[in-house]
Amino acid sequence: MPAPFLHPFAPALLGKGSSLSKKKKTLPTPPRSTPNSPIAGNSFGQDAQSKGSTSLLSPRLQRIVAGCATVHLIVIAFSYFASTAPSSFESRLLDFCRPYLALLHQDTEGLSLAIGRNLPAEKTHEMQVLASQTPDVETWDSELTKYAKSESKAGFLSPPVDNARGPAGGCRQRRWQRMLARMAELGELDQAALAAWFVTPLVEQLPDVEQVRIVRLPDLMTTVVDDSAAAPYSVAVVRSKKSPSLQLLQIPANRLIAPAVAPQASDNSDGDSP
Amino acid sequence: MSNPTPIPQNQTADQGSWIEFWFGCSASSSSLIPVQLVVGCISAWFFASHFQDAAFWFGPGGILSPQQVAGFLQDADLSDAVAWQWSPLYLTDNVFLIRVFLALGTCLAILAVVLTLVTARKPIHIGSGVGLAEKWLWLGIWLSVVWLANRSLLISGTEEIALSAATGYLALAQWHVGRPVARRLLQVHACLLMGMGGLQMLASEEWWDGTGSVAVAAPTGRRFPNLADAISEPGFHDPLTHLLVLIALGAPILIWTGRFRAVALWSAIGWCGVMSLLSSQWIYLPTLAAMFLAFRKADQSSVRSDFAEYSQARDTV
Repeated sequence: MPAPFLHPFAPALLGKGSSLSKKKKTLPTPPRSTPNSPIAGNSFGQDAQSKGSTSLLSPRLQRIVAGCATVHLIVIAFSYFASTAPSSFESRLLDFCRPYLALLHQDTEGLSLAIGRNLPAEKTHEMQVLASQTPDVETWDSELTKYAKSESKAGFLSPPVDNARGPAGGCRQRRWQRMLARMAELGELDQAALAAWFVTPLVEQLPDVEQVRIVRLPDLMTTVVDDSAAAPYSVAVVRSKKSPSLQLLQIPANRLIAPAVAPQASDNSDGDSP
Repeated sequence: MSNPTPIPQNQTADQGSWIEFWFGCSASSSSLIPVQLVVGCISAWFFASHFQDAAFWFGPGGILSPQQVAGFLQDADLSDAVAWQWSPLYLTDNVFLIRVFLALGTCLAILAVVLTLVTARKPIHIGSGVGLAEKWLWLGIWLSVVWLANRSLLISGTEEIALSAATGYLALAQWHVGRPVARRLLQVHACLLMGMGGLQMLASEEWWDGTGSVAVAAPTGRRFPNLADAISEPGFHDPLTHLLVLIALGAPILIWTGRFRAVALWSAIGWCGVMSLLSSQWIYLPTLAAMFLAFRKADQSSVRSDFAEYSQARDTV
């Protein structure tokens, strides 16, 4: 009769030759640590005398479990290593391991495990809206909050936008900041159309908003050049009177870039060429 | 018939020490009690923090409603990349159902903490009702954390990674045969997280020139408490930065040595505390600190109790 406090799955976990399913006299004795044992004293096994549970597994099953645990950690370590700047080899290998990592939510997806690298994604972001066509800085309202409150809009949007910020340093505010950082990143990559999937639900509840932008706020680690940079994400809202749908048009940032035009043949004629 | 090839002595010893590494650490129930308490409380907080924003993120017309996410993934051609990031929460945008899920996760985590406190006072038999409840509770918590983290596409971060790992290992630890492996997995994974964080620190100039700690505290709009001004003196933030890098790189290695185990353990926990204060990462870093608590020595009386329980099990069989 099985012991009442053994796990019901214990027989299944035992190996084929496990002695627990046989007679009492063939049961393995839990190995006791000796002074010469590799885990004795102060090595990585700290309290070695309680190894009773290990003996419930057959040696073969122990090797399999140890192998699986090792492979699991190697895959996770590899995912962490590849989170900074993966090589093409790492990317291919990561693609192979992705199903396993994703199911356990251990896929870093390029997320930095270190804090304080002064990356753009770590900065404080703010969503601002413009309720008139005049590009006057003073009329920008932060994160739709003031606008939504002053207009007393019905529907779910106005209070949640306010609430989604939460107190500084809180979990809810961090999620909102991550979303804004992703949208700003997409804007910088000229992928405003992708960010529009997440901005549209916010904007379509506020009929008077005509422009939306996401800005990075300056802090102790930003330079004057950083602070004067254009908003990473800036779109104009185009509404149709005939249909309730709206469109977001990206407002290009003012950049000092030279046009990529090949020099004309005539330019050489008035130079100092022979 | 040929004789079996004798196994070299050193090979056997290597295999033995390898098995000892995974199965040699304490399997006592008390060894993981502090980890369970901290991770259980953090899990409850994690679920509860989603409750208020359920409609805003996941509800109909929400920013991350299934329709918005599907449209984004299709346009970005990322459908295959996140195909395995599965969660049943993608199947609905019903706010009530999502809130029931969150409330269930919070209750499971609170119940797990209560049961851990009960069993810490009076050890229980593994097969008893409380013992069985603990097993399924932690399994439920782990699945809930992973499903919610997978559903929080684009807004999940390091805290979900650490929490899903910690709850997964604690779920494994509720099975007596898996406890030593789970404890070792917690230890190694904690070292991996801190060590990789330390290596990534070296990839940025701030952690070399002494301003790394300021860079952590600088985005004041995302921080509570705001310590940016308090540590702005170079005489303070320079040594603090170097110390944080040294601990992040050194503690995950020194903690495996006998002589420096205690120093490395408490340094790692202190590192998590200081970084939490500076960065306001109130889920990720406390979870990491809790995972490091798996290095604490088990209570010897509990070890004896567990060993006696095992012996009793053997005798009964």
